[in-house]
Amino acid sequence: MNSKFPVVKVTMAVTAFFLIVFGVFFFLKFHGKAKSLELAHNANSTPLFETGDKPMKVYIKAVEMDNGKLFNLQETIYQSKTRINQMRQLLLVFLNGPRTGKDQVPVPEGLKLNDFYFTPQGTAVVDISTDQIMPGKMGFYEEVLFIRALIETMSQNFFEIKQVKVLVDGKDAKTLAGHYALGSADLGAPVVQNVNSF
Amino acid sequence: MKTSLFILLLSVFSWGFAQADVDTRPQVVIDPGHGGSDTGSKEGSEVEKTWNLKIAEALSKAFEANGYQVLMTRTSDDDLDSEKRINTINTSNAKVVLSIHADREWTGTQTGPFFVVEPPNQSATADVDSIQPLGAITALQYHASLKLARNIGQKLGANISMSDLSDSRGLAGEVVSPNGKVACLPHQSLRYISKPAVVITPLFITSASDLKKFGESTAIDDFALKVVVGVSDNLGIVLKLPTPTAGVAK
Repeated sequence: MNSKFPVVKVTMAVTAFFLIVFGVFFFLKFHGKAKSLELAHNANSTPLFETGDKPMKVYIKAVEMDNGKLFNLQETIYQSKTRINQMRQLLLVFLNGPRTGKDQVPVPEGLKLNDFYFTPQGTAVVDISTDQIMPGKMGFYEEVLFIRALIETMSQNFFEIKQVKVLVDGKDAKTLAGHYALGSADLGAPVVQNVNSF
Repeated sequence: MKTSLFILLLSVFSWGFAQADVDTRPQVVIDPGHGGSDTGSKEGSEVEKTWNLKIAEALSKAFEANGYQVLMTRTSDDDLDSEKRINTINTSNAKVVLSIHADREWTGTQTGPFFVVEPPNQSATADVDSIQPLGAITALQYHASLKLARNIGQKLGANISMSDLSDSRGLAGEVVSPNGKVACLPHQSLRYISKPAVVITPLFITSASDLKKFGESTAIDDFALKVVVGVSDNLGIVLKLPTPTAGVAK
């Protein structure tokens, strides 16, 4: 009986050691991410997720640099208390996605997120700012890729999203960067012209 | 009696002169995108507005040489008021509107020609005979524009299937293709245009192969002539093109 005692003791010590190592690892991983995402989000809302929230797989639309085509790139967000916070996380993951390497998000340098909200009618309203995009650095094709990727990223991960409305600095804009006509026909899902009419 | 005869002769001559003044040639609007302070897209030293005007000028020459009357929305590097542009186009007698926009795309994989037609929209009333509100694109106008894009695309040797970037609402019965060069998308240059209209992207200024092709001396003129043939096919006009000179056998 006594001879078995050290074995139990050692097993318990090893288990405790691994638990501590995993605990520290996950704490650092989640804590760091939560902080950066919260800082990136301008709205005064609840934390996008909290320590201990489970990770969940999402797919964002990115472009294969070899052929210029959109494809699904797997990313991770964290389950939070509200679906809207999950949507916000997804949006930030998409907007801050890779801009170097063989797979890149079709988001121009300088595009900023001002706010995001979701209406009971199923419209995801994405308010962006384009002031910091260098003039001439967004053609029609690139505007289309961005809008298309944004809409598909949002709608393919959240069934509640029926349409996506893009605002520029809180207002309806004619175009994103001079070509693609916003508010007229956003890729397969007719958008509401006026936010006030929700 | 003499007075009556004089009036009759005068009427006949006046009618004759009036007829002589009417330009019966089919009219085409060529709309070089951007201009002046609005440069459009840029890549290095390549500027969209410059390419647009250069290609529009070649198109204008080619259309006039083949019996068309041409209306250009701008003929120099000047700012163009959007409202004035729309009024010029909509009050013209043009059968078709060609809006020229060179484009850019950062991966460098996309090449011209590429065509955009405006999808039908909610503003259009169901009754096609009634006066449509400004900005309304009826299904009829959409299909006329699509046919125009395809007629031109065919002459340029482009894949005239729908691009998979297209707006699905314009695609009744259409199957999209990843390599299709005709896209049904809302373009600011096509909004508020009440005639069959298409945006033609002859080249991507981010594509080395496009820049090389359009850098050759005859490339722009060849492109322009093919567009004229495509538009003529669309309008059912038979062109009298010169027969190519036969090569000398060695």
